Amino acid sequence: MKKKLFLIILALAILTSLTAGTLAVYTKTVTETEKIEAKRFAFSAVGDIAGDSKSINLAPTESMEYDFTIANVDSKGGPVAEVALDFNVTINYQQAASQMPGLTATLYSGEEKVGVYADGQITYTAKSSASELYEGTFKVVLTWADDGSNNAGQTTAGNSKVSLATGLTLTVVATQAV
Amino acid sequence: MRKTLRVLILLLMLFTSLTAGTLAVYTSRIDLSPVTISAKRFVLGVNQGGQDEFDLRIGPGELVSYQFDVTNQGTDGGVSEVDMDLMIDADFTAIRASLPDVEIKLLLSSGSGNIEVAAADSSGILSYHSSSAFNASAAKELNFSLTFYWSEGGVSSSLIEGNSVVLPLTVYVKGVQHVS
Repeated sequence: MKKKLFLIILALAILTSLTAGTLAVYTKTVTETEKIEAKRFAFSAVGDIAGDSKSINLAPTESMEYDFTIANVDSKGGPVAEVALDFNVTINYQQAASQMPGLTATLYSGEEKVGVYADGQITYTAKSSASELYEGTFKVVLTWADDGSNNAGQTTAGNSKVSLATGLTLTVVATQAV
Repeated sequence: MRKTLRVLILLLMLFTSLTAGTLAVYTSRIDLSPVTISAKRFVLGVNQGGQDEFDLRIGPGELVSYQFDVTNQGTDGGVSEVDMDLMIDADFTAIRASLPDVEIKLLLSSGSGNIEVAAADSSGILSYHSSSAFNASAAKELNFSLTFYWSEGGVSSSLIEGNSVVLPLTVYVKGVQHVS
């Protein structure tokens, strides 16, 4: 009996040491930290009347110019947007055209006439590529045309000196291209 | 049936999450400062009116005149912002027909007195055109006189024979934006 008990205990001891021993394993912990970032979205639009004028002031047959630029950076020299962008430009001069008969506006990209023309409104779309600098240069040429058919209306506008504080408005919406 | 329903719901959730995820995009709007658009001021002012009718009483040997002023400044002080041509036209054919001896002249006042700038022709038409008579944004007033001189001993005296006759006169003053 004693012998049996001794053998059992011995076997148990061996088994335990084996098990404990096999629990000793190599271990190594590797910790890595990764960043998650949002891709940069950058966009700017600036514009001004060409020359030193503070307003578009026209007589029949005369023209003036408004220049503006669109870019996929927040400021000149700044980092470029990391996503492709669609730019939607809307130019509105409806009210001025209604009170100054014969007034027209034309949008140019460089020297090329562009845009879709409706009654007193011009729309235009441009695109930029991800991480590639885009700087679009545009001009709006306002002309008070005189074909002789609007003399009375134009004279009336000049007599009363029509003036519209929001005669020309320009909006640019930049949207990530999907 | 339940299994099918579960699969369908799972698919629907997957589809919704995919669709919702693709609607999230960057977008931004810039409104550039509005620009004032205005018409250049255009003013033609004439004392006694731009188009006028008047009666003058004249006898043989007499000189009568009618004065009027033309300006590019309005009563509010605003001055024309464009160069302006000036045209003065008058039709005195009725006078010519009744009083052929009457000399009709248009005089312009200057520093050294009055200068004759136009005269009615034999039919009675008087026309005066001055290019860029007024400069943009420079207030100016021109003083004119229309003179009628009935010389004595002419044919007209016998035509009237002591009776008076009233003849209407009309003068047109027109300003036009000068275009180079």
